[in-house]
Amino acid sequence: MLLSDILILAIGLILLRVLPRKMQRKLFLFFTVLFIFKLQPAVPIRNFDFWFPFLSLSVTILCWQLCSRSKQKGDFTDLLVILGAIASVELTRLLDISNFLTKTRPPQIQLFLIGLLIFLLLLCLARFLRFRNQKIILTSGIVFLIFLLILLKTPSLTLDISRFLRMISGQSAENAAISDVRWLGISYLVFRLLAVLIDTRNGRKFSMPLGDFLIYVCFPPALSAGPIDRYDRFSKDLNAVSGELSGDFMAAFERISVGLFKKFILADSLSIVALSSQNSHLWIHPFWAWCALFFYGLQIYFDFSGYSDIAIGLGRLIGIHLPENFQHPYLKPDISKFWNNWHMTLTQWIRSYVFNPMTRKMRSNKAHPLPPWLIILVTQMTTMLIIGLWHGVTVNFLIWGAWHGFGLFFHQQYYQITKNLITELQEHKRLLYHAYTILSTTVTIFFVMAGWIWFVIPSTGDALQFFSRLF
Amino acid sequence: MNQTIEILTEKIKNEIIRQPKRSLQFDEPLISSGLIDSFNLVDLALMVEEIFGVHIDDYELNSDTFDTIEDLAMLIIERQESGV
Repeated sequence: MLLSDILILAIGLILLRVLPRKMQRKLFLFFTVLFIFKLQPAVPIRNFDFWFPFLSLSVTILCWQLCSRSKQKGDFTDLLVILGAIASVELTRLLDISNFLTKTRPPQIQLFLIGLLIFLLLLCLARFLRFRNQKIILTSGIVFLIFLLILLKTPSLTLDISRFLRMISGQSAENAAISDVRWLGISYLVFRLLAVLIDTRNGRKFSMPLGDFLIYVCFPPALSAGPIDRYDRFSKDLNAVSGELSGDFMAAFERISVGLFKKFILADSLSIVALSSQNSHLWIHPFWAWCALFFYGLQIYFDFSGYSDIAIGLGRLIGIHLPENFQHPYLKPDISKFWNNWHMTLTQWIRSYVFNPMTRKMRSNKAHPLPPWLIILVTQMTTMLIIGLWHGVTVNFLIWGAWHGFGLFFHQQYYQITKNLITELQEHKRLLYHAYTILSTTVTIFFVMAGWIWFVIPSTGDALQFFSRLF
Repeated sequence: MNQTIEILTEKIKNEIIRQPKRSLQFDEPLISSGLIDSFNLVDLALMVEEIFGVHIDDYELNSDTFDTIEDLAMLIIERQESGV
């Protein structure tokens, strides 16, 4: 998000907050749809700065149609508001203003109408299918979203997509690049949709109105970098929004200021001296190599947590209390606590839909019980590998995931052996316990920092070479 | 309520964290403090289901749903009364 986007978003949310409640929800929905287009970055493939947000909205509405048991009359009005907002974006084609709602001119009217018609046909199909073999339909939806994520996260497949999209847009496929497929917020959007599809498949009743659901999935402050809220919690806040802004305004202002400082002052300054894929071969001496690595660790923290602060602050302006995403992760005394406080909403999502169901299934198997250490190894490793692959299907992200998976496994085994001693120190020898905490925090931070090598350097050879220079 | 807290305290000390001699208060944070890790949390959910017949969903296993023994006891009683 650019500074100008943050400012427009803040003004828009404040204006929405003070509107009468009757108008507020529909205008909020209209505003959300416009902002998805506004935030989408420029794409070298013709018209795809329009089609990517259009597809995000289409997939969201189709998922809602498959899951929802909402019978509110307002759902049809919500659909009309969404279509009206999309049509307004399309009509800016007729205005001769560049970079207004989309980065380039929206597509020709005929193309737009074909896209709209395909979406409406799919919507009718989803409506027809939702009561027939719902489990199969929902499973298909889950598989489709996972497949979409794999396509967008695997560099070679993303390149193929770019070639294909360039071809259908009448552009040369020779110039295709991975960076062409910059689909704003798709990773977060897919995870929010997957949660609803999985919950509904597991028998949970989902009856959120269409407009509320779309605002939740595409909430502009959290669209590009999270946090990943839960729909039931978000819905409670949305239904309790009051016109009284004064209580939230100062808290929001403070949070946004902290976020801007972290993102645009601290993170951007650190990026000059931090380790990167371009400068990894320059750090020869172990001391400077560690410094560059620590600078990168701090840069990614300030950048990401700064974004989260801005999103949480902007949310407060409209009365939405987004969940915390970072709570001083580098000051935690072990790797398990680090992961409880780093990108917390992603970790919680993976726990809810991968780790907990796997562990529950394995622990419930009384006929052939597996040893706890094996269950922990399998579940921790799966969880961390998925978190690694979520960032990109590459060898280095896989190594980064495995690095933390083993870290968590070994910490768990170590804790089982030492927990009585640690408890003894905690309860009776406070000074020794503090010294132990300082030592364990130091070990944890060095372990996490060394892990970032695999995250920041895309080539395995370069990463190994840099790793060897640390010692 | 007190009986539920007593049962939970004993079970958590002996079967979940496996530290029978540890002092454990009913209002002591279990999840946010890291005393119960993610693996033990699933064991706790299975134990609650077995003893009290109350199901805690996978997505509910976090400190927002309950963080202390007192919170958990209230959740159990609430769900037993509403028949969830």
